[in-house]
Parts: sequence; C-alpha cells; structure tokens
Amino acid sequence: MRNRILGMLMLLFFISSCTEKKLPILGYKIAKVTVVDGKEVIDSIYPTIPDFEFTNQNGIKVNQETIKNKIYVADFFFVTCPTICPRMKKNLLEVYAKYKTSPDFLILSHTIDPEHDSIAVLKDYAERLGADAKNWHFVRGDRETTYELAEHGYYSTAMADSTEPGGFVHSGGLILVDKQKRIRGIYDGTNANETKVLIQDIETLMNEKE
Amino acid sequence: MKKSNLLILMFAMTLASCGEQQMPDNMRSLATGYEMYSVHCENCHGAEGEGLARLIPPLKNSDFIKKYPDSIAGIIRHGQKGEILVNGIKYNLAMPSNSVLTDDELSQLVNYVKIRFGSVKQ
Repeated sequence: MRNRILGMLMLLFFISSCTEKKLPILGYKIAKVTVVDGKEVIDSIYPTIPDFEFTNQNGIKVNQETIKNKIYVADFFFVTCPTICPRMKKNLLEVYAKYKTSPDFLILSHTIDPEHDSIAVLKDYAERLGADAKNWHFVRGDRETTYELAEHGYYSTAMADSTEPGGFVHSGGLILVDKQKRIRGIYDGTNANETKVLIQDIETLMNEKE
Repeated sequence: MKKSNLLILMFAMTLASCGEQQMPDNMRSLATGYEMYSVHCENCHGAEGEGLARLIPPLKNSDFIKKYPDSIAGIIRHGQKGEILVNGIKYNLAMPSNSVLTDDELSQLVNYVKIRFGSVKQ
C-alpha cells in the first residue's frame, strides 16, 4: 500500500514538473520570407514590437538596444492626466517594487503629450514617483510616432481628443513584452487584481525556457 | 478618524450603494459626498485618500485640511497650481478645476472630505 502511494506521488510530481505554464503570444502570425541556399523559405512568425527611438527623463536615447534581452512592461500616459493615469501609476509602482532589482526587467512609460511633458517635466515626475531611470524609463518622442507605435505595435490606444478630460484619450493597458519583443499579455492597469496577475505573469515569463 | 465618524460614514456609504431614498438629510449629504468623491477625486487621491507618492498629496491625515478647511471648496472648484506643502512634503502637480459639480454637490463633497479626512466633528 505504501509503495502504491509513493508511486502515485512520484507520478504526480513527474506530471507537474512537465507541465510548465507558458503565457500566450498575442497577435496573428505573419509570413516571413528568407533566402536559404539561394531558395526562398517562408516561415510564419509572431509579430514583434517595431524598432523605435525615444528620449527618457535623463535625456538618454531609449531604443531597441535598451530593451535587448529584457522583459518589459509598456504603458501610455501623460503627466497632467486627471483620470486613469494616477491609478495606473499606483499599480505600476507595485510591479516596480517587485522587480526593480531584477537586471533583465524594465518599465517603459510613453508620454502621449510630448508638448507639455518635456524631459524636465518627466524627470520631476519620475523622481516624485520614486522611479530610477536605470529600469523605469519615462519616454517622449514625436507625437504621431508614439500614437502609431501604441496602435500598431502594442495593440493599444493613444490619441488627442479635445472632448476628453485632459485633452487626450488612451488605454489603461499595461503591456507585457518578452525578450523577443513579442506581446505576452495585456492587463488593465487601473485594476489592482489584474496588476497582481501581471506580477505573477512576469515571474512566469522570467522562468520560461527560451 | 473618530469611531463615531467612521460608523456614520460606513452607514452612509452602505445606504449610497443601496440607493436608499429614506435616509436622514445628514446621511444623504454624506452619501452624496461619498459618491462625488468616488467619481471626481478617487482616481488621483486614492480610495483611502492616500495620495500617490510625492506626486499627489494625501487627504488622509493631511495637516493641510486641518489648517485650511475653508480653502477646500475653492481648490476643488478652481483647481490648484503651484507648490503646496502637505505633511512637510512639497507637491507641485497641478490639480484641474471642476465646473461640473453643482454647488450642493460641492458642499456635500467638502463636508465628506472634512469628516472623513480632516477629523471634523459631524
């Protein structure tokens, strides 16, 4: 009897160790044509975040080199936002507190109001929030480039709208991106419970075998 | 906050959430204040009035509310620009004005903020 129980426990342990949780990869696969030995080879791959270049709160360029081999969370906000941004930042602070010492983790917060949110304004905002520019970049760039990246890169929303409080409309999504620049999850940044799921999923992604 | 104030607030919040119409006037006023706070203030100042880091000042245990209770209505209505000192910390993020609240709603919101966060007796 004891041997049977022991056997069942070993089987359960074996099964659980084999079922590694993996996060989904978001987006529809696209065809990629490469030439191998003079022949065209068509492969289907998941979409990745397009290359970009912004400037962070310290005036330093942030681009694909910054996110190379990093897991990161992206969001869109503006400093004078009177609606969802403070709630999002409060929840992002929870994420930051958990992973700020992790060398392969970053947060990229994109301003959608670069006219107001100068580098000096972003620096003050970041410092008051307690964010270190080593691993939490508050970035600004050309307005249209940012909106384009939000919509087509991150499946998010960001645009000017004079009828909205603060003059802009944007998604409250926190977007989780893996080291291959693929989106692995989108979470409601205004919701504390969804932020807890994000924190767990970052851990899952960090433990994922490449 | 004093226990009696806390109980009054909890009762008012419960009634507000139930849509109770048959409540005493002071309860209805607090319930409206709670609703107005949830709609117009909570996103920035937090559900518990905790504020946000050194960006948005707290209302909970705020020395500013105790020192300048008469300024609250004006700040809510006209907004706040420039540096403000709360509990020894300087805050500088502009607070937007609010022209949507009626005078009654503004009055009820101020009353709610003072009672909940300013330890003002009901």
